[in-house]
Amino acid sequence: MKCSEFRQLWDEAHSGVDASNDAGLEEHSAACESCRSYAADVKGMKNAIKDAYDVGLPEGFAQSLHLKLAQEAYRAPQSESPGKAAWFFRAAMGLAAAAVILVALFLVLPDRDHGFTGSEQVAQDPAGTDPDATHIPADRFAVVRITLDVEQVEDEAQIEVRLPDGVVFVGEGGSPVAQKSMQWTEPLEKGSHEIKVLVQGTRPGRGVIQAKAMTEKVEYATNATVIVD
Amino acid sequence: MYESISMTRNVKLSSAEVDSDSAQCNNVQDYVKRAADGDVAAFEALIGPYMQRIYAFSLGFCRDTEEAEEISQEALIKAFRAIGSFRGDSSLSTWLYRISRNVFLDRKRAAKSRGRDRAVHVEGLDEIAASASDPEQDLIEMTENERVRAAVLEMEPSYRDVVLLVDMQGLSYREAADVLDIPVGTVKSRISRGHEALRDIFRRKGLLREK
Repeated sequence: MKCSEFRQLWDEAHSGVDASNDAGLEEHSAACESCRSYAADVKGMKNAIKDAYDVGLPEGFAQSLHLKLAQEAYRAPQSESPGKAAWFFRAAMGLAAAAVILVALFLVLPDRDHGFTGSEQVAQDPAGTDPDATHIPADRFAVVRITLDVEQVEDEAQIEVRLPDGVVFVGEGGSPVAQKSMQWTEPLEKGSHEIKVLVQGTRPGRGVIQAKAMTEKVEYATNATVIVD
Repeated sequence: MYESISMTRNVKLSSAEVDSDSAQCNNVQDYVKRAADGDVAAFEALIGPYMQRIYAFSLGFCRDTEEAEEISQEALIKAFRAIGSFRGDSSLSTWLYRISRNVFLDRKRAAKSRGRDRAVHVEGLDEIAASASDPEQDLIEMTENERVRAAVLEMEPSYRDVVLLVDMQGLSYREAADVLDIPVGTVKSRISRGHEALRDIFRRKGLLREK
């Protein structure tokens, strides 16, 4: 066996790959000082490399990544469902104080004809047993999606999203926003509108995120139950 | 009252559950699908077991921990965006390594086009020392692990890639070949040449005893 062959086979044998010629390796190693030295050196280098990169994640790595992922989920478009008409996004606005702007994305699917009629009140969580409640880990971010169905085109509707206690809006930098509700004005197409809300759970408990769209004549409302675990 | 919501759920999944164990395959696919739908918690459960490894792998390309953190976070965000395209043809870890390496290469290309290659080719420990106010003192103050990492950075990149994947991450030759998109035979030859090259660097830097 040549030294070059020994070294390749030795590397394989010590990299989780079966060496095809163990007996040959031993025989060559016994007779070749240079290759014994190679094997010892590489073994030492591999151990040194393992030690050198046995590092923990930097402080705050997971939290920072978590925020970026939540923001990514918040900004990302939903994949278009088959058979749906073209859809588009809209960026909405801040609050009256305008201290912090939370971008709310609207997904508008004009051809949906499920509707909601009448100016009903925003529902409260009736029995506290909603199986579709969104679970938000305390001190973690989550994107809650609320679907609001609109029966007819509205030239201008005032939209409001109101959070329950124990949940706060999250600003772009990951900081909590003091306001409990966000309001803005939007024209609405007929159909199903998805409102994404980036929130953080602050206190364990159960609550209802309320969303409504109001015009002079009609009020569309929906809500989403959230449980902060 | 019409009421509808789709939600991001909190999921808890141990690393064992997302292992490539075939019994959990459907479970992993379910998490992949949920992550592709924007479920952050599902994605975090998937990548949780690999985060440290991706960071350590990125550190293999970088001079400092800040850049390694940037690369690994960028890679994981890209993975989140692309998780819907993950078909399971390779393992999740292999896929993540590939994305991380591509992020590094993209940054390196971008840096080059800006005329300043801050993305890491240390041409030698001497170069690090040359930029320091007191080279000798800096060398003394480098820990053994820092000296090893500086030695790895000196390697020719194609050798360094396989050494990082095989020796540091413990990948098989086949897995390393998948990450690098090269034949297994090329991995074999590069690991051997890489070991020879690294041995020379280690010796030069006093990291191996002269025999």
